[in-house]
Amino acid sequence: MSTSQSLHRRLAIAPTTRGFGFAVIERDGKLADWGAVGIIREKNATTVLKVRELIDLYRPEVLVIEDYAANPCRRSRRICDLGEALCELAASSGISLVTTDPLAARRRLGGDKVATKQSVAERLAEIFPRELGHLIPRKRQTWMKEDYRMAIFEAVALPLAIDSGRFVATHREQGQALT
Amino acid sequence: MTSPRLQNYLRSGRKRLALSQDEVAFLMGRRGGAKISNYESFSTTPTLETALAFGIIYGTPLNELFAGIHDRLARDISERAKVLRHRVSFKATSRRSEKKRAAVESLLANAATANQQPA
Repeated sequence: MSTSQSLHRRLAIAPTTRGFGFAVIERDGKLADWGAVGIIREKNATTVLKVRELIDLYRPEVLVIEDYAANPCRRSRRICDLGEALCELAASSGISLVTTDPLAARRRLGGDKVATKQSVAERLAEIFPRELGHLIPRKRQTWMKEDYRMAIFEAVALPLAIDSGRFVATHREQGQALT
Repeated sequence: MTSPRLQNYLRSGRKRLALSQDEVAFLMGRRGGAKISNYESFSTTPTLETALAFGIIYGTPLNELFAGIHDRLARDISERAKVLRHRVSFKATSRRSEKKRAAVESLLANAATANQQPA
């Protein structure tokens, strides 16, 4: 199942407290790879290393991350630092970096700004039933930790926010159009 | 400039079925998933037999499963078909050479159609 068309392969990264989720979306909107990576020690350095491996493997033209500079940024200091490190990684790898507002993804997929992560995940599972259908976590109760698989859905949702036109291009290769 | 398709889509095929590399290796009659990992990370190209086995397990046509390789071969064959068309154009007209010209033209037309379609 595909979503939107793009001229570029996109790698989306969604960092979490336990590691990061990633998604590789092909130019025809199909998911080429997706997953959640758990990291125990030196989280930022290891995440950058793992993302570099993904870049080397899939050679994406665009790296998509959350806009950590967005106001109000509710992410921890470590995650904001990781965002900076990923910006540098994109620049050193010669790929475009696009930061998106995660609320834009929620608005688009969940229908409104206050849509829950669960409803966004369910919507994404409808869009990609074969790929993500079996990965939807059980509905979270207040005493439960967030399921690690939610990071995959967050990563998949990020490029869809770009498609809705709500994005900020912070770095772009000369003459390269982000369409 | 559009991105070329990946050499293969074995990893997404496997993840769609929620199978591990070891499980795919087992289905193929192999011991461990290391070889599967090599194929998925594009460091080795599978043999014809292994490629067919992937097609059977994932239920996907080989031209989609090995899209990048398919695209490269199609491009190379299309280039050579142009040379062949030039060569056969000088042959004397006979039923056989007519058939040959038609085959080459059809090959080029198919390649042109495939190029126009979004991958």
